[in-house]
Amino acid sequence: MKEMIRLSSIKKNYGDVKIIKDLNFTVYEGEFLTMLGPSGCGKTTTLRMIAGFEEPTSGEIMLNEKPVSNLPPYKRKINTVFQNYALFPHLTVAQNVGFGLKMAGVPKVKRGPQVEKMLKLVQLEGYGNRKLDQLSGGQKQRIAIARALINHPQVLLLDEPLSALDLKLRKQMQLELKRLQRKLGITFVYVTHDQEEALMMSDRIAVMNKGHLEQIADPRTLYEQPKTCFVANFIGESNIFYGKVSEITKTDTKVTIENGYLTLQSDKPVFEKQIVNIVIRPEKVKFSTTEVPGFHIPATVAEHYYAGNVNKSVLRLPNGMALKMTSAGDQKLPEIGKSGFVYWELADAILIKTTSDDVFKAVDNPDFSMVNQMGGD
Amino acid sequence: MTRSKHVDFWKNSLIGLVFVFLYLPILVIIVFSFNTSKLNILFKGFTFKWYALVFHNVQIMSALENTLIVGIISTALATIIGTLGAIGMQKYNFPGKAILDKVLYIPIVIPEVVLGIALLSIYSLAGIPLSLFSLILAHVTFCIPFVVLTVRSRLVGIDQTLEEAALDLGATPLKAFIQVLLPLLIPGIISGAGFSFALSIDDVIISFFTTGPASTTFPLQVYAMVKTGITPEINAISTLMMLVIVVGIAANAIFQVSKLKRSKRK
Ligand SMILES: Nc1ncnc2c1ncn2[C@@H]1O[C@H](COP(=O)(O)OP(=O)(O)OP(=O)(O)O)[C@@H](O)[C@H]1O
Ligand SMILES: [Mg+2]
Repeated sequence: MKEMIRLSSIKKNYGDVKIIKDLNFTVYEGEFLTMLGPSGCGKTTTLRMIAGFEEPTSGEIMLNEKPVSNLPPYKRKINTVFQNYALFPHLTVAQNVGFGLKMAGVPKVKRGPQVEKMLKLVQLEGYGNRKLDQLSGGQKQRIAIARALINHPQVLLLDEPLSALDLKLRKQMQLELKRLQRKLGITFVYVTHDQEEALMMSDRIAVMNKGHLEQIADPRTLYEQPKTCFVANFIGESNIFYGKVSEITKTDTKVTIENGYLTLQSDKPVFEKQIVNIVIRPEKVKFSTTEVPGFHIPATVAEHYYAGNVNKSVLRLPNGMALKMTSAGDQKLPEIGKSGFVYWELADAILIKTTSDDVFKAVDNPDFSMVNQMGGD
Repeated sequence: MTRSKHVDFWKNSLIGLVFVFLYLPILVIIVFSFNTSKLNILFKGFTFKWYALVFHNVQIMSALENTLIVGIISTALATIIGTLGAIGMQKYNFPGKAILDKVLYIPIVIPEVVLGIALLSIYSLAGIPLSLFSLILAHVTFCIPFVVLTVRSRLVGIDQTLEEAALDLGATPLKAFIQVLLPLLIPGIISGAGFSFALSIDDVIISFFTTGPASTTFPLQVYAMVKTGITPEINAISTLMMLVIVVGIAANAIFQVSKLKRSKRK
């Protein structure tokens, strides 16, 4: 795969505030890469550095394996779809779409057909003479996309392009954008904080948090093998246990948690006394009235929610921690108030080796109340 | 019912009275500008001769010329400087910006006499002779803040990302300015220029301090003439000025209405 964009050791400070802390990742040609992360984590800042509106404090951005630090935005073969569209209000639809061509010195007669072609691409043929205030939000969005694509950029940057649209239109535009990207084969760098959108559209997702990269991987890998508690929490729902490897035998690896103990697959690379996080997805959690070998986690059924095709349940552990469990809609549920034990298939547990940073994050999260009591271990 | 009729009567006569107060003096001036008698007491007969006299009065005509020269040049300069200043102050952060922000409005609020004297003393300090040049300089000085004010109020309504979008699409900063920012600013620039021109052509006080003997302006000339009594000639001048203003306002109104109609039709 050909490298399109590479960020090496990118740092960005605003005054004394470190906004981006050592960002490294590569975007390949024709890829749909999404930057996903909570508000304020630096997604827009990163995008603006790629576009050239912002200069990194240190580090290097490569486009096509050539550094771009000396290229102003108008010399980069990168175009942007802005969050608020940023269409020129004094120009017609056709003039907006043709703006890039005009700047490139294409004569007016040649612009017309290309503009029309672009409008057709975004399914707005014949809208050329309209004024912007005669367009709906979704139409404006598509004009912004057509305008950004007309110069055939190597990379298209999209900063939350759908966030201003209502849910139905957003779903429709997601499909349309994906169709367009496949058809044109242009590299997309897409920003969103909607994880569902990211999972659905992306080839790979870069999960960002507080100015650094947590993990970059394809959606399935992110879900099945999150590398950090943050990713486990951010992509889909998770139950996260905090514990200590207490015993390693030939066949078993036992982890002591506040509410008891659990067993890991023996091939997990851990050592005794190591502090670890164990992530278990709600749909993998099982409940039984009798204890299952290898597990000792008592729980009481607290609540059930009916959510269409699935049932969502909350199980209460002795220390008060709420454990999420999802089961198929047609499955018989244990009665509320019933006591028993939780367990899961050994292969379903995800091991996350804890760094001090991760433990800190766990404290941030109310679900991890147990950490406070266990802390200092 | 009768009670409300009474109220209506009083309301209407009050409004009528206000109009009489406002427009009667103007009407008197217009009427007496056509009076054959030199005295503004009795209407003796109809004549255009005062108008002819005005147009043949060398002093008045050269003063008018000066006023137009000063008005046009100082408006042009103030508009350019004020517009660029407004953009610069919006875009860039520099030390002392907050202070400049406040200082800028001093020429608007301080008494004109003070500004006039201040300019006069600067001119004599710097050895600048009082002439059309010093007059233009003075007018530019008090016009700039008005341009900055109007352009700025327009600027805050313009989305900053529009310029970035232009750069993104391949426009150099200069092209982005000409193609995007300037067209969007035009209404603000025009009203700033209009303000400046209006202020410049009828300024008396500051001009009084900053002009030389050979470069008197129209308002100063009229002012000088009035000292010896109000002649029908002055009435004629005033009527002409009113005519220009009324025509200007009417043209603007017609233009606005037709623009509105055009945009509605679309
Ligand atoms: N020009 C600036 N000066 C100072 N701080 C800034 C500037 N621009 C952004 N920041 C800060 O940088 C951080 C990251 O901002 P950024 O806009 O990149 O976040 P984001 O991930 O895009 O968030 P969102 O999802 O809300 O759009 C924020 O804390 C923001 O306050
Ligand atoms: Mg953002």
